[in-house]
Amino acid sequence: MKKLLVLVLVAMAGLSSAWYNEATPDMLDARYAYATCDVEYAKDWLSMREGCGEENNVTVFDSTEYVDSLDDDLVDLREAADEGDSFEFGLGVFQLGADSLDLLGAIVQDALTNKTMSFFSCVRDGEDPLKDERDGCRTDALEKERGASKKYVQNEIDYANEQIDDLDGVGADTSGMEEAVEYGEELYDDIDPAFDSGDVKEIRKLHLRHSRIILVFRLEKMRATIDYAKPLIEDGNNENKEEILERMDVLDEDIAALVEGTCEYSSTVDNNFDYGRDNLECWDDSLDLFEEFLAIGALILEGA
Amino acid sequence: MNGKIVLIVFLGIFLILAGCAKKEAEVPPGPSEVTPVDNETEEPEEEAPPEEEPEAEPEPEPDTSGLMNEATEAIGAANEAIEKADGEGKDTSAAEAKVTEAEEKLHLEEFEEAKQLAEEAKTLAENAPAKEVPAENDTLENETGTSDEDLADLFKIDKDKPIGDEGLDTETPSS
Repeated sequence: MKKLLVLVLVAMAGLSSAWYNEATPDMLDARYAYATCDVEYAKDWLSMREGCGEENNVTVFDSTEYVDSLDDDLVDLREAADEGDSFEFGLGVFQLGADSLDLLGAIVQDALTNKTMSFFSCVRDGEDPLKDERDGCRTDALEKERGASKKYVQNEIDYANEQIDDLDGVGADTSGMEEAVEYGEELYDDIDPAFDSGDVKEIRKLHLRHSRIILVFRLEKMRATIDYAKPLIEDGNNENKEEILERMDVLDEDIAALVEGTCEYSSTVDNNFDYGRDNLECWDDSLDLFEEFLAIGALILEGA
Repeated sequence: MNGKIVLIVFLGIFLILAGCAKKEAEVPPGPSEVTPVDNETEEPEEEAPPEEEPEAEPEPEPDTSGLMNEATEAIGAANEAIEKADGEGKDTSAAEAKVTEAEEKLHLEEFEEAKQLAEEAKTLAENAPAKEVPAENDTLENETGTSDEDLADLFKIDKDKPIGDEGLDTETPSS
């Protein structure tokens, strides 16, 4: 019963202490704007293509269903952005990607059936102005994201410094966390050059680095906490002392393997795909470590 | 506690003795010690033998000694009250601190203050709150004063992924 109560309290503490970045709605709004540019482009392109079909007496497939799906996805994204719910927004983006792929498959299949050279020529000619329109729309959306990104990253730096102060205040070694904050400050300085370039790949690099920095900071925070707590547990009378110390040692080793190994931060992104793949693996591995960290906290409380 | 009482008694005796010595020095010289007047013509009067007076105990000046006694008694009473309260499991730390101040004042011969402080110490001892005994389930603090609850409180981590990996690369189809 006591164990259950402890777990409930820990879970509630976790919920109540979850930090929310106040710039999240602005970030999501900027991304919604960007996604809208692409959906509008797709819809205009399909209309233009249908027009070419009529002009050249070519039958084109009915895209109404696909367009409705994209519109529905945008509605979901809008709702998530309004609520500042990044998780729902991420799901919405995934769905939009899936529906876009469906549409792409349908277009490719349609292009292979009974089309003429004049039809393809009409489509090629018609898409250039649409692309220009889309690019202008994207530029505006990216400008929105530039401002939101700065606020978002700055909020994270401030929050990270608060966490450092808390741990530093009790005497923990926060040097690893401080280093991660320095990476964050470097990233902040790189926001303007990346957005100035107008290259989506450069902006994507910022996102990838950002994701890794957040991960490294959290891993370093766990390290600092364990490093601080271990001797106190050793000298204390916690009923779960032996198990806590054993699990702390294992967790500390696992964290070190990630921070100093595959998940080590690099400000250089040679290949977006490789860096992104590593990020995914690092986050997957780290989620287990986060769980173990929380479990050790519960174990300390249980044995208190 | 007994040590304190012994110290106070010793201090009291010391001060009394010190007072005696001082008073002896101040006693005016007796007739035998009067320098004879240089008058050779006069038959020196036969010195009357000094009256056999019982040797009176030289006492300190009444005011000071009275205050000192009162202060000493007050300190003794305070210490008794502290001992009693301590035996009853009460927190006598405030009273002990106060009585220590009183003893210091006594040592400095500031008797009025000493008495007042001792009386305050006695009142504190009589009204001392019960000692806070850690409950069975309470956590013992380690040497740094950090409890296990405080430690467990540090074991928090945000598991949510940040924004950053998705969104911008959602390319919609082009021809």
